[in-house]
Amino acid sequence: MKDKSESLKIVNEDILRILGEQGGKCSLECISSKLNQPSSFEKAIKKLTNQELLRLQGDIAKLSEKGKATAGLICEKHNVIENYWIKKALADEEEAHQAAHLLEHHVSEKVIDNIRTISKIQRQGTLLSEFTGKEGMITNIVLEGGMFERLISMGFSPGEKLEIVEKLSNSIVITIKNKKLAIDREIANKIRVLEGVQFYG
Amino acid sequence: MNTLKIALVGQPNVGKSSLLNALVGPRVTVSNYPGTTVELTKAEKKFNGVEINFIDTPGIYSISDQSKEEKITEKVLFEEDLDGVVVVVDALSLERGLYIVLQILEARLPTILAVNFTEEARDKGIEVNYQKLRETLGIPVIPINPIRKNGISELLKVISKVDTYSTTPFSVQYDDHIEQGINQVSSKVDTTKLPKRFIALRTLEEDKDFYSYLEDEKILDKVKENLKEHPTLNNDIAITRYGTASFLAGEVTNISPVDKTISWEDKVDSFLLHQTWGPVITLLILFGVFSVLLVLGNFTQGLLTQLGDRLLDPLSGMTSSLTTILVSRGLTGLIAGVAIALPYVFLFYLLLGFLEDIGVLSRFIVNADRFLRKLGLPGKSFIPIALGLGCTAPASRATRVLATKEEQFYASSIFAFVPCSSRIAIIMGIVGFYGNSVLALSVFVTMLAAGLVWAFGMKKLFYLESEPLLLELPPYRRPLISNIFAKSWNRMKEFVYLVMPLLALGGIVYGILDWTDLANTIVKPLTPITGWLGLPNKTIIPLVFGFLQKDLTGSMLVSVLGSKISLSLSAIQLYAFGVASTIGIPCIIAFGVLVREIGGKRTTLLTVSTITYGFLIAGILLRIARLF
Repeated sequence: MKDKSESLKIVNEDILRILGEQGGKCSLECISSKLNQPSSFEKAIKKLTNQELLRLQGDIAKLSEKGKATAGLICEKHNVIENYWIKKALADEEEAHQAAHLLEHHVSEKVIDNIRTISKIQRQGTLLSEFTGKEGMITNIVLEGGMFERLISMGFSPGEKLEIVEKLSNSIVITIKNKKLAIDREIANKIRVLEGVQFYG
Repeated sequence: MNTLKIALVGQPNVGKSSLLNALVGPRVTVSNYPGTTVELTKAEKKFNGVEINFIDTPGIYSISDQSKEEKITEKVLFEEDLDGVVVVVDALSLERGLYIVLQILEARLPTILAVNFTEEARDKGIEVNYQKLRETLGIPVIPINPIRKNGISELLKVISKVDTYSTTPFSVQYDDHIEQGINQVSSKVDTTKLPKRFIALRTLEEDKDFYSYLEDEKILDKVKENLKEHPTLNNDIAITRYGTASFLAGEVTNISPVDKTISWEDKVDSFLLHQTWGPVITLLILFGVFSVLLVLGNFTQGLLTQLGDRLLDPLSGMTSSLTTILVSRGLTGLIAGVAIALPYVFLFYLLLGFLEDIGVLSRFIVNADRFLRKLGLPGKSFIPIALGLGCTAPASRATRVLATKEEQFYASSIFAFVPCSSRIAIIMGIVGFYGNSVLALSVFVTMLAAGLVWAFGMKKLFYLESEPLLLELPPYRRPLISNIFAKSWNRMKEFVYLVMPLLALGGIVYGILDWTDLANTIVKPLTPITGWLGLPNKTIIPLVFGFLQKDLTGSMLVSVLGSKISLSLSAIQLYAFGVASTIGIPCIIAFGVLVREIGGKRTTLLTVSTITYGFLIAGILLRIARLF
């Protein structure tokens, strides 16, 4: 049951997004050709009409005022995710578009806000070894292989909050995820931290 | 009776050993995993008519093949035919624990999640929704408190029924490209023992222990070549997994803000981890530990020696037949062993275990790291080196905490310059007693200086780079006394079963050499050595046979030179004797343990080179001193 209503929600959102991209007006044929899974298309159109998000004029669908606002939100979500994927994962546009298609339905407003913040601060921040603040957010780890996984599994992940406890001549003591860790300056040199980021949740 | 084989897995400091303690009591056996030096703890428990055999694995941060501990854990998890795995996680940092959980679920092992430190988490405003976690992961989740024994019987109940669960657990979804790569590799996996998807992931993450499951390793290169979007594939897999763990943790925890006051722990740390005060306090506490050991040790040693004398007394009246000599020498060695083992080694282990369990030891490592790294040694080598001040044999064994064979070899060479209790006794009891305290102190200083020169030399010569420090500092906790005793006894067992017989054996061998007068036959050919050291020829006997029995060096010296040592040896000669007999791998017992740890060839190389180095230094300094 859950799966069905979930996929219906996805189709609903896709229809709204396509209509939004097409300037609020589009033929049903055109919409269904652009859909990833056109299975419950008719049902979705019916539901959207009931919710007064769109109106049908023959085989042309038109967004209502309420529908335009909703579609706008979805489009924005899509764009944020797409941009995030292009920049962050170095994906090409088509892939990023596909990823955005998949994620836009599942990602909450809070996450979108977080992505906006992260996208802005990418490749920003100072090296942990030169960081002078009291707390900050990890923005980047430039290490490969075993050491990267070790750090990740200790909670050093981009986006995590980190607090400086003590700075010693050869190591830095920090708190991350309620745990104190001593980390060599050599490793701290590979971690970027940004001060003064708003933390969500 | 139905038997179940269950592994305990978790990150370091999540309370795995206290959980095992709560599950089965302190009746555990510690054994080396075959062919390695990493320890596994095993214990069994009968519950509801089921015999549960627990295997406690070393703490690891993730399933990987990077460290010895991780390799062993992989072996236990994937080659031991387990019935189930209990993963212990810390409620304070749930995402970190979930990272391992997700990895184990990828292998589709029947998994039970035990969440520890729930009260501590609640104090920090973290509330975990166990029901939601259970539903999301599709596995049993049980909050536990091993100290108060909460949740233990519930956990046992779930474990005893582990073979009846049939669920489809949660699985991490990677992005399309990675999933495609996983599918491609999966099609080339040749096993039914483990899920193909799991093998694909492990091999894509470059875990070499799983390459043998592939039909053809080339598939990995092929897949990676096609995955241009992921130039660092293993990083991306790890980050997706952590992201999923973090997302799950966020979904099932409720964090309410709590007043952020500076806790007493932070206050303690601001001293213990202070740039200058940290090392000072570390040294002071170590000094305190040794003062306690010295006082208590001298007391018990006195008692034991008296007891030993009474035991040996009837033997001294008999004719000096071979048997009496062998028995008395063997007993002397054994008694010397008990006299060191009980006070120094066991007490030392107890104190060290206490410092470890209250969480102070890890801070010491951070402080020591600053100095040890300058010598090319990792901070972790602090523990074996500190242990070396008690007895070199168990300290040699403790070098196994180090990451590589090279580090282990190098750290072992440092023992040549860390005086153990027997060598301290030589310096105090011979050099200090027959000479003076300044002379004794200068032997200590010489050892330290010689050690520093050795260490810097080794570092420069072999371009040693120690592993950078990355250490979790556990919160200060009230220790579980039974845990400390169990741990100390486990460390002590090695000493009792290996070192004590060797001590007796060393005494017996010296007895034979003494009785057959073979000891004296080495005096002549080795006169160049005593000549170099500026010592009477006969002193070669305590120098050489001290290696069999360091504690008998003093009495051997007396027996070859007579009791008026201060008349036979000048102050400078006493100093040279002190240096020559204390620098180097000290005795056959340490030698024996080192052979097991780093191999025969390397141990021989180390022993010969350090002893030669000691003799060289003693001779050179003697000549310099004579100039004045």
